[in-house]
Amino acid sequence: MKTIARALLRLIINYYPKPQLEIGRGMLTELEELHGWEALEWAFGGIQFYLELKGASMFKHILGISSVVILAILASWLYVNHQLELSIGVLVVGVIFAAFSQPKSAFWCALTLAFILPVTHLTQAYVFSSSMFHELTANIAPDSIKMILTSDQIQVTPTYVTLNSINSTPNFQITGAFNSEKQNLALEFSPQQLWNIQPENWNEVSSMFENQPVKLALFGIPIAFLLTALTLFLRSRFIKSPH
Amino acid sequence: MPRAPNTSPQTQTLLQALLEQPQTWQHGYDLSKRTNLKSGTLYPILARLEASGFLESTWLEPSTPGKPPRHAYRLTADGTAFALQLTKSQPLTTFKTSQT
Repeated sequence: MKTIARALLRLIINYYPKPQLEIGRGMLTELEELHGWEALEWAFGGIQFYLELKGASMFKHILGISSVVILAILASWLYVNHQLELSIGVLVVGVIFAAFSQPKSAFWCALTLAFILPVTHLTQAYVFSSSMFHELTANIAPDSIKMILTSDQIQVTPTYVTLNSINSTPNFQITGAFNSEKQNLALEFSPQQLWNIQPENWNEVSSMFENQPVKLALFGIPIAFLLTALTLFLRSRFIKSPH
Repeated sequence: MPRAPNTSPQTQTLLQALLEQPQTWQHGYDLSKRTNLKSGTLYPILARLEASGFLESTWLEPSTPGKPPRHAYRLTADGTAFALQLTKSQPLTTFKTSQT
């Protein structure tokens, strides 16, 4: 029991602020006078002391982390719901907030936040290209396009489909000619809807989507690094360490 | 009206214990036993009193060989004066029950 108490107290003392470190070491040496549960109780007192010392800043940490996490969730939710501009706005606000927050934890949150969008997008694109399209290429059904078009209440009966472009940012959009009169239609599909589309030239679509993660990585990751660098710069410029 | 700093019943008890032997260095564990204050209560008070200049601390060589040096505290002149003033103005509380 005393060994556990000693290890526990030694561990927590490492996190004491410098001015109280000596007092913490004093507690540790006093522990040698105690045995059994009494020693453990003494060690818990060391944790209580730590909490009291860190009380205010811990609250700030929790507040900072919670705020950034909420902003990250909001940004992701907006992104998934195709509000790209708002999502970027929230991210920028989050990064600025984290840059100016006193607790360091908020800074680490800013890093996470900066990477949320490209990572979310990469994950989405990767999952889509690696699983869905491979499934689709293996399960081509001739009437599936018609089914989707009618289910979206678009009154056309396509005889052939020519895909001109595909864009997965933020929606999955297919632009092309969808009927015999070669009308140009821009259709927007959710991933689940797109799952059911199986055009004749699906291999072409698949290859186009497979390139998306690379493009997004080239675009998103440098932006994330830029945001991180900006956060670092702002912190070094305006935030002074409390110690 | 907010209470003046360093005047809580626990602090008064500790000051009283220190005042009994103002010139003697006293260990944290001994103070804990005499005041019935748990370490989680005692040490924050010791830290506050030391920061206020009412206490001084030192490392004492162990009486038994093989044991580590122990941290000890005693009242400063300011601390003694403060403790005496506090004793006069307010009746001191002795903690019989467990305090955390």
